[in-house]
Amino acid sequence: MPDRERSHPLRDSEDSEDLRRLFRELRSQEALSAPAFQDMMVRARDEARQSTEARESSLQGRSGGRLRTVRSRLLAGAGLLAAAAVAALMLVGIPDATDHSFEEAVRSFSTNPALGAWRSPTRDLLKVPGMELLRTVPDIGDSTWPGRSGELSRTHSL
Amino acid sequence: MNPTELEAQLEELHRESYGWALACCGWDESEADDVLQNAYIKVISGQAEFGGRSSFRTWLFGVIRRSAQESRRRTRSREKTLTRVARLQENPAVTNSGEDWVERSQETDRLVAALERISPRQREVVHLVFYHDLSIAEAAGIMEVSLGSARTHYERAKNRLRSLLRSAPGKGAEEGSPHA
Repeated sequence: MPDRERSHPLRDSEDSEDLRRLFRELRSQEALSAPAFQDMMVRARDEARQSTEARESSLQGRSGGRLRTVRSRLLAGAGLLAAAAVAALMLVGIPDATDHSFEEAVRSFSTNPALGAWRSPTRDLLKVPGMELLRTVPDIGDSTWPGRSGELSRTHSL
Repeated sequence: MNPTELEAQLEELHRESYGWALACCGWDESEADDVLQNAYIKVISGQAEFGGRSSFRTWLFGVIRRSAQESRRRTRSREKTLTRVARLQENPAVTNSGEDWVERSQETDRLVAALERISPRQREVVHLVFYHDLSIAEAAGIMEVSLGSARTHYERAKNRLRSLLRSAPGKGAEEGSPHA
């Protein structure tokens, strides 16, 4: 095998001939006990087919299981939401649509609108002197001051 | 590579593959059968796919080697469990020694015995180089080690093998005799 020797510069063919010979012998003896290739291949094909089928069925089972999981999670989520809504209503309380006092007040207001125009008797106490000054704005450029000429400038009522 | 071509390649390398499986399994024939079978299953089911980055033989030997490693791991774990159970039942430890059915000459028996006494890496590299006629670089690829590392293992393995073969019992009887 000169070609192989050339392509294998790391092989020391000369000083290892003793070992090489032993290995060649071992190889020829073991080759006789090798199992039949076809038998092995038939078994290998069967097992490969079985393992492929098992893998596929496990994948299908896994995807079916995933759907079931999603559905059960959705149901659980919906249940939780419903429970939360019930709890919130219990805490806040449902507005009483049959509140008689409220209905009565509405009814009395509609029959006597004066109730809506009620004013406080001490309202005039809130009026203080000079309040109108705060409600007027002098014109810019007008030199006359109301205090000196005695006449009021044109004012804009707010 | 279509399935027919694939099987043709496997068939061509079958005996050599079996020899490699034997070496990977410490010459336990039943384990080697299982390992080779599992390697074939991986190849034909597409679990192991030949990418064309190396020769088909180198790639296949790599698949066989990995299958053997997996098998070893399973066996070790099973042995541990069995040993634990045996201890619990206060029985003698259970061992799993494979029977050897290969008809070998005394000389090759001594070689196998010597191979079993060297380190796995050393055993792999000399087997790949001498038995399968691969280069050290190809062996390094199969063993998934660097070329330098493979070369070191190779040199040590040769020296160790020679030393073991010289000191092996029955050596004198067959010294210089023609091969069986």
